Amino acid sequence: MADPLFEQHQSENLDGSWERNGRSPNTSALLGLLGIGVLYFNGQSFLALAAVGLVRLSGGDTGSSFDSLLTSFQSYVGPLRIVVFISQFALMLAPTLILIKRWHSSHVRAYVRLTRGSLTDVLLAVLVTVSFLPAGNYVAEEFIRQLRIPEKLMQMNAEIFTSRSPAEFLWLVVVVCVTPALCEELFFRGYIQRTFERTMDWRSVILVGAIFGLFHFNPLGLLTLAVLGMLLGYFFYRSQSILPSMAAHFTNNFIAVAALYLTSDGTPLFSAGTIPLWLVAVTLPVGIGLLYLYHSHTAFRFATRSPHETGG
Amino acid sequence: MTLGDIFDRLFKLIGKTWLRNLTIAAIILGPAALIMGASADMGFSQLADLLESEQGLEDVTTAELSTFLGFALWFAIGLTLMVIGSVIVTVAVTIVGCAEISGESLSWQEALSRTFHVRVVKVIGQYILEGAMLTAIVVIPYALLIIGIAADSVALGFLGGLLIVAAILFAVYLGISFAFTIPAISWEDADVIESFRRSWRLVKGNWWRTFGILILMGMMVSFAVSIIMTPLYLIFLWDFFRAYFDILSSIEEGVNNPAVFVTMIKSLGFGIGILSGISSIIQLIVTPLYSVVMYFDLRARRGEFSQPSSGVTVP
Repeated sequence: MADPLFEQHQSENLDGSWERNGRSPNTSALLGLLGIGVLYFNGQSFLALAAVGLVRLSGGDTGSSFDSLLTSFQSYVGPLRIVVFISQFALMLAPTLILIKRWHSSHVRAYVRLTRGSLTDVLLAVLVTVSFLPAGNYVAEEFIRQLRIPEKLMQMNAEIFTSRSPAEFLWLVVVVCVTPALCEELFFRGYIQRTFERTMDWRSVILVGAIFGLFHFNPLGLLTLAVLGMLLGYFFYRSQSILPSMAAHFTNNFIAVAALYLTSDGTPLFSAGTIPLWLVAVTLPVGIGLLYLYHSHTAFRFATRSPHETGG
Repeated sequence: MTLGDIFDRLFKLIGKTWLRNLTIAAIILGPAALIMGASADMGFSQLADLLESEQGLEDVTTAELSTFLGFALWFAIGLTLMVIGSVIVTVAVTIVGCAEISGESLSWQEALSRTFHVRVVKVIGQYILEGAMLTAIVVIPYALLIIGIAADSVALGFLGGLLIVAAILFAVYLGISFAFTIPAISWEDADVIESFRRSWRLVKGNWWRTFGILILMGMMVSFAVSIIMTPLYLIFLWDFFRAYFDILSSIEEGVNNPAVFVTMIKSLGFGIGILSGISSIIQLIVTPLYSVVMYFDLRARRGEFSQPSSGVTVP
């Protein structure tokens, strides 16, 4: 019986050094995950520290009350957004692409499944994500309510996603929506899940979804983020294309940014308020139905994927 | 082995041994963590009760003080057990790892039995000796610096400061050179002094490579532990964080509510014990294994596996 990994090598142009040496794909995924994780978080912290230091040198102030803290935090937000933008591309995306090219395949686009997918897949993935959003936010809000976190502290937390002018809104769309949809998807789905999938098949969706939740270092949003990660992983797994998960990720973040767009009088453009339970009761079944539709729609393509994609 | 091979070998070794290593760590460290957690919980609760009572801390009775000290003693016992337990787990996991690489699959019972067969005492001795040596290297120039400051001598203070930097670098150099004393004792049954010599010889000529790989592995393990531990902190210290946010709210509202502070102290104890236990268990089922892989790599580099009689599979 032929070795499934050898078959993969033949059919997927797995010509990287990791593949040539016959090392485990799981080790590569773990090593990439931890290595890029260390690089990304340490590098980002260092850059953020430098940015905050520069703002302080140029006269930024701190205060003792929440209001003055919020005011001083607002002066850091601009540089911090630049830090996020730079670190996502330089410390997450670039090492991901380098590792894939050196270790796995010179055909990076094919490896990460950056292929033209079906438009219906993309639309369905976006609709599923939108339908699951109220339930996810409801759970996160419930944690905040239970912990009795002061509203002003949450306001400070939301400040990085808040925009007050169309230009700021557009910049935020680039930083918070486009950048993670590209960088995080290529890292988590294109590299980590894709590599685990070769030996773990569907279980990689669960594993990488949970890791995606943990990676955000946000314990209050862990459950929501892990479910979102699993959804994105499922879109990627079923459609054999990274585009649906990229579009879904973009949509998820875009809704958050749009909800925090403040008009000139300081009121939100969309008065989101707290998520009522009835909305969850309506949207969740719709989301599950749409997910079933996605499952059915991708069934043929999934069933006819080449043998090496099934993990042998 | 190249860097990729080392990591490949390490992750495969973790995959093969994690269940046995987890069993060992849970059996040894679990009770110590529970003792620490329970005693900290009772100690913090009693402290909170004293703060809450009208008598205040100034009028503590001898009986109350002795009860409090009793809990502190239990906490110290738990902490000591945790430290000794960590040494035992390190040795046992090292033995499991070394055996696995050598083609022998040891059960957790066998690994613990070998650990308690004298080796753990040697490892404790090694830890004390290495700790004392590294501390002395740093403490002496530090004392010089303090004396310089006390005597108002700029020259002495400057010399002390320079020596501290040199001492830290030297301590790091020695720390890396002695990084493989535990595998030497655990697997080769070397004596304490012999283990220092053995590790020194293995690292010699490969110091920078060893330093780089150990630092990289250490950072990756710390990162993995921190992503796992972050949600656990919220779960186990839920009441603590809730009280903390209540305090923040009351500060903002200008309300002074000492009862919330008492609740915060009361909710701290048990979580800390359990969290430190879980964190240690996760660290200890991985950390000794990367020393093991590096130890075999360095031995292979010294050509130790070229003799047919060695009976060891070249890693």
